[in-house]
Amino acid sequence: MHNKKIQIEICAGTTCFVLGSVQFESFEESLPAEWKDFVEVTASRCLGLCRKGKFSGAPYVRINSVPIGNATPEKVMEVIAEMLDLPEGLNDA
Amino acid sequence: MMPEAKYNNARRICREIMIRIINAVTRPKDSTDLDRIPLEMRPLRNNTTRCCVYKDRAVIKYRCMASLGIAVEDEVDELTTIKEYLGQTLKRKSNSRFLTVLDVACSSCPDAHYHITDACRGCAARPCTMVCPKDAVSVINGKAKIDTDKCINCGKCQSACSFHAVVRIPVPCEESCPVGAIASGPDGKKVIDDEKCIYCGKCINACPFGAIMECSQVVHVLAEITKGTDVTAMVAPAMEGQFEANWNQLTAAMHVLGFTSVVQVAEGADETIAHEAEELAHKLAEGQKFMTTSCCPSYVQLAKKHIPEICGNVSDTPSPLAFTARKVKADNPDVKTVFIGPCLAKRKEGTELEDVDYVITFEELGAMLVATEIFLDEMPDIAQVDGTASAAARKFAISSGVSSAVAGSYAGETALNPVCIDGLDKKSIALLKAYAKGKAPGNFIEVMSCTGGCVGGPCVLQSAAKSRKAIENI
Repeated sequence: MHNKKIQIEICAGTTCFVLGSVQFESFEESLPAEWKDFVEVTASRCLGLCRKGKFSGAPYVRINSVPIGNATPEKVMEVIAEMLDLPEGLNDA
Repeated sequence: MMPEAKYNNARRICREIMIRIINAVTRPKDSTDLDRIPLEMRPLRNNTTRCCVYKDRAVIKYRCMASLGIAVEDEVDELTTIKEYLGQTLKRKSNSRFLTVLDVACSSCPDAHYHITDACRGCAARPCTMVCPKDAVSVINGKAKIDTDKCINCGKCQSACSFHAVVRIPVPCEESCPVGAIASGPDGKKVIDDEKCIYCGKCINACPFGAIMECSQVVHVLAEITKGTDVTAMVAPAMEGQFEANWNQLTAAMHVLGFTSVVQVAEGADETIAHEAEELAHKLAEGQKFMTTSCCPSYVQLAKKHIPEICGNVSDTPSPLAFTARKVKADNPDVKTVFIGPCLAKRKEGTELEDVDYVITFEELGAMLVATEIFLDEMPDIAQVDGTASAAARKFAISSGVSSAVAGSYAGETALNPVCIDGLDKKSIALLKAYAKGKAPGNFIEVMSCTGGCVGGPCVLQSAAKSRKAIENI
C-alpha cells in the first residue's frame, strides 16, 4: 500500500510572497479531483531557500523535500502529474 | 477576467530589478554592479522573453532607469550608464514624470480593430458580408477578410459569425485608461498626456509588455536613510493584510530597514472623518445638493482635469495623509516623511503637500524587505505602535469604508444618503458628470479610483479579496 501522499509545501515567506507566491492562492482548489487523495498541499513558513542572495529563484515550492525554483502552478502540476504516473513516485515519499 | 492580484511575469521582473537595485545601492561591495544587472538577469544562451537577449537587456536597462526615478522620455544619450542615472536622480528633488513609457518595450499596438481569424470556414451564408454597413467584408480565397480602410469598427460582423471567427483586438493600455490620456505617438509608440493623466496607474497593470512603469523614489529614501536622516514611515491603512504579519512585526521590520519611526495614516484618517462629517453637515445645511469625498488623489485629479464643474462639490477636508504628515512635521520639522501605500496618485499628492517628502509603494517596500533579507515571520511581535486609530479609520482602504466612517460621525439635520463610486472607468466618469449637472442619486458620494478601494490599488502585493477580508475583520 502506498498511502504516503505527495507533500507540496508552498513557501509563504516574505521573499516568495513578494516574488509571486500569490499565484498559488487557490492552488489546492484547482487540482483535479482525482488527485486529492494523493497530494497534500501546505503553506509553509519560510523554507529558507531564498537566503544568501538566492532571491531570484523565488517563489519556491518543495515537493517531497525536492525544492523547485521559480515555481508556477503549471510547473508544480507537471511534476505532480509525472509522479502520479509512476507508481514509484509515491514510493519515494 | 481581471486577475485577483496584480501579478504577472512583467511585474515579477520589475520587482526583481528593484531588489537588485536596492542591493547595489545599499551594499555595493557585496552586490552586482548596477550596470551589470541587465547582463545578470539575461545571460547569454538562456531563454529570452523578446526577440533576442540584447533586446531583453535593453528593456531591463530602461526598467532600471524608471526604478531609479528617471523617466525614459528623459533619455538624452543611450550610452548613459545606470550608475550615472543613479547619480543624476539623487541630485534631483522630484521626478519629472510619475509614469513613463518604455518605448523599447512598447509593442506599438495598432488601434483597436476587428480581425477575421483562421476559424473562418468561408461558409455559404456569409452573414458577415451582409451585416457590414460599409461593405468592408469580402471573401477572398475562401476566407472572409476585412478591408481596414472601409471598416468603422462597429463589430456587427463579430456578432453575426456563428464560428466566433471575428475577434476584436484591443489596445490594452488605451482601454484601461478611464480618461483617454494614452494614445499612439507619431511612431506608433504610446505617449501619456500629462494634461489628462490622473495617475490612477491602471495602464501599468494593463500593458501585457509591462511597457509602462512608475518613476520610483526608493533610492531617494535609501539615500536619506544612509545619510542618517530621521525618516518617518507613514503607512497607509491598505497595509492591513498585505503581508502575513501583524503591525508589530511590520513596524519592527521597518525599523530594521532604517525608518526611525512608523506611524499609521489611519490616525490622520480619524481627523479626516471628524472634519469631513462636520463639513458635510454644514454644506448640506447651506443647501448644497451633494458633497463628494476627497481622500482619493486620483479622483481629485479627475475632478480638476476632467470635471471642473464638480470641483465645488469635492470636500475641502485634507486627506488622511495630509493630516498625518502635518502632525509628524509639527512634532519634528527635521524629519523626512515617506508615505508607503498601494497608490501612484499619492505621489502626485505628495508633491503638492509640503509635509510629504517621498512616496513609495507596497511593492517597493516588499523589495526593500527582500533585499535586506528581512523575514517578517521572524520579526518580534512586541507592541510598538499604540494603535490609536479607530476601526472606522482603518477601513478607509476598502470601498464604502470612507462613506460609512463619515456617516458614522455625521450629526447634521439633513438625512444622509451615501452613494459609492467603486472604481473609475468611462461609465462611472459619465455618471459623475451627470451628478455635477444635478442628477446625483445621493447627497454624499464616495469616489474610489480603484475597484474595491485602495486594496485594489496598482502597487499592491496581496489580492484585493484577501486584504479586504483582513480589513473587514478589524
